[in-house]
Amino acid sequence: MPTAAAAGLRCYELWDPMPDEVREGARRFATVQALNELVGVLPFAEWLDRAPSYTRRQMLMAKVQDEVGHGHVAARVAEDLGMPRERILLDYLEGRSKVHNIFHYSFASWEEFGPGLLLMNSAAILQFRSLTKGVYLPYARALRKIEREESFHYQHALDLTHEVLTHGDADQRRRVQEGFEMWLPRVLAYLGPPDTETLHANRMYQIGLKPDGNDELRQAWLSKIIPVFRKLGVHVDPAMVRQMPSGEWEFAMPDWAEVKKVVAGGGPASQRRLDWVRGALDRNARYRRALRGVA
Amino acid sequence: MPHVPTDDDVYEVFAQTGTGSALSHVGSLVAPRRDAAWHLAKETYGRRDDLFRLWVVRRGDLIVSSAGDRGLLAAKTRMPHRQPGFPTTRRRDRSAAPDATIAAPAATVATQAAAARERPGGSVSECGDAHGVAGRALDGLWLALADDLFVLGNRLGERIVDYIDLEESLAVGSIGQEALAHAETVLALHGFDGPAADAHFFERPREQWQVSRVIGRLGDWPSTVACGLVIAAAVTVLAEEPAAHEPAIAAVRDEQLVHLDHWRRWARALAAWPETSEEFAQAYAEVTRSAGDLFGAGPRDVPADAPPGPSAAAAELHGRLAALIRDSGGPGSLLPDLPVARAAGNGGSVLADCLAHGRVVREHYAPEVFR
Amino acid sequence: MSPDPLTGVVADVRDPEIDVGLGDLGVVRSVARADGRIVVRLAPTRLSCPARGEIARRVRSALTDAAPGNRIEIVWERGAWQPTAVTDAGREALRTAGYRVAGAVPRCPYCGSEDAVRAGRFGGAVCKVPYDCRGCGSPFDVIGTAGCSAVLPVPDVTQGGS
Repeated sequence: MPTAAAAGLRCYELWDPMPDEVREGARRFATVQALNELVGVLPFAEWLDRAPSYTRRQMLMAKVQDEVGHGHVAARVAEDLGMPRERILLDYLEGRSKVHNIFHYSFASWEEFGPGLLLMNSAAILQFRSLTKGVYLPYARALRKIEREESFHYQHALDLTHEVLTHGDADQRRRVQEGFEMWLPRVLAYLGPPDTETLHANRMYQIGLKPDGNDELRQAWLSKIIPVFRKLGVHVDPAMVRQMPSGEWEFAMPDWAEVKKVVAGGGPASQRRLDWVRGALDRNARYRRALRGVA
Repeated sequence: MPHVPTDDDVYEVFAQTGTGSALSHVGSLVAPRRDAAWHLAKETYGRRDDLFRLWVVRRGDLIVSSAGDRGLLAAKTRMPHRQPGFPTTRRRDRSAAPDATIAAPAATVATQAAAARERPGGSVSECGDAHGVAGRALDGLWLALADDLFVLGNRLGERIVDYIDLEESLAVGSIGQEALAHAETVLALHGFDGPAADAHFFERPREQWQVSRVIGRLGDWPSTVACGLVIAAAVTVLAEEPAAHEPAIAAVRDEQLVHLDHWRRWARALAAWPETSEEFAQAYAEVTRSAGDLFGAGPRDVPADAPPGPSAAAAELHGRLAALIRDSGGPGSLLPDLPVARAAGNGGSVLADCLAHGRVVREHYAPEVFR
Repeated sequence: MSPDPLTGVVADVRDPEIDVGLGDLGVVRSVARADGRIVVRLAPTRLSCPARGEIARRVRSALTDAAPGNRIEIVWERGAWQPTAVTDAGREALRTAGYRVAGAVPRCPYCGSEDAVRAGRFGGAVCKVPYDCRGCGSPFDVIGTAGCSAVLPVPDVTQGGS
């Protein structure tokens, strides 16, 4: 595995003296991940009680649990770097932090669920894999495990998409197709704005916390996931994404103004997510106090 | 009166096809000698399945019930899926399918067990279960608790995103997943293969569910803690039964003990904290008052000529449950002194929602899609 | 039926959640072949192991490649897995991947420190209990059965941070 150390950058353990910007950067990365794991699981949790068989339900519950587990890991890393874990959700409620664009939507159908999950999951895997090359080693190690566990959910997403495509009727297969087309631009945007020109000036890149550029990751992701959908029998419209003879992918550029609006709270499920988290924290506050007070 | 049959050349064959299945009566055969009977049994019944265990016994050595013993035997609960009206068609179709390689892997043992059960039973079929009469009395209780575990497991899964505490999210998720798995394990041990278990949980009409009254109480966090506690206590008590000599049940017990411990911690915390003590005492009272039917046989399981009131076995289990709950560190328990019968129609909106939501996707696909 | 060379094929199948062979993880109980049938007995690490379906799929696929034309039966022996069934090679593979096996003092798999605190009683997966190394700051998991948290000689710590 190529490491930051191999790239000539210094790596850090928890107790090592480290520049403030490394500490703060690592804390921010881990905090952002923790929040996105915790809130990002809501679109999936909403489908727990509708998962249509014992196996699917067990798998989905395991996935939801695992994502929260990853949030737990990231929150522990952030906590070691000075971020109290209670603040992660509070900052979100009070508008100081945002979740990724993809978590501002809900799935309208089980048929949409599979391709959406597959696209999101595969993108997250590549992103985590990239971050394992970061210079803050406790976080890099945690991500290595997380990435591996995500690969397991990827298998599940593949399996359930395949199930729907194999056994579904024409309408159900059409909804898979629509789901793919709906989620592809969202996940392209999730990987971040184009940065080939600016990456080298990015401080997080320079200090070794952001090992790869957004464009690089996006290309790698498309190379991985588009053939998977083709193999599943999903039509990939060349107007949305196509591979050039050079091997490079061209795609319809996401509407970045729209993405920004969604992330700021203008997505179809933005308010619903906030309301859910606020409601859950409020109605359980006294039980949380009981646990802390007596334990 | 039990009688001793006399045909000396007839042997009864019992086989177990895997450690996860029950030893079942698979048929009879005629042989001139004991050793010949053994070899013939191996040939006849080991051809199709790998046998984990094989028992061959001379019919003359068996003590067999007669028609007049039915009332006595039936005083124990019986498996609901053997009762009229239970949808067994799919289970049969599935187990008869020649291509077992496509069966859900977890269910392979169960498929074989189900197949074994449905072979011609012979005159001793009533002794067919590995754990005998005492074990059969527990079957109904296990299957009823499996229903409770299924609904509880689903509810706990939804609580993963209730953010009571990050670690509590992981706790309810783990306990929820295990509750679902324990429900499925119980079904597998009772001969349900994967599709049959799915049909049992996802397609059985609501009128045929007999969840405990505590399920209807599943609401806010205090009631969830109280329900989790009494259900974990009941499963633990049942899993301690000597008849449950089964590694899978031992694993269920070990895992449920961890759940029980978890709920007890919460019960103590909520009872001791001034802000929640009153609220919890009330939830605990309501749930324990409703918990008397955890070991209550459903009316369908009670034969018409049985004496009124709970069976001695149920009363004994109930006593152990009472002791465990009393000892839980919570406020006062209102568990009734004797078990009361389970009834259809309990579970309220908790059960209704669980079943209705479970059909939302499923009903739009052919039944064989979700295996 | 006697142990079969196909045992090695099944043992080499990778676990879908952690990069370790099923044999080294102690999941493979037996593989036997007779009359065109292969019977594989596996022990899930937990009753609720969500990876059973994927494991079965991989085992079938590996066996179909290695010995085409057989009918494959997979039998799950529920409750049969024990942490002691993990081989030394399995322990080493798990350590490299950031896991320890229940039953011993949970040293940090990365730096070897014994200064590790439990970060809760339940982990992200049913077979894992989370720990934090206070030596190097790395989170890791201990893999084990329901009893594992009871046998581990560590204090009950509810908070992971220091």
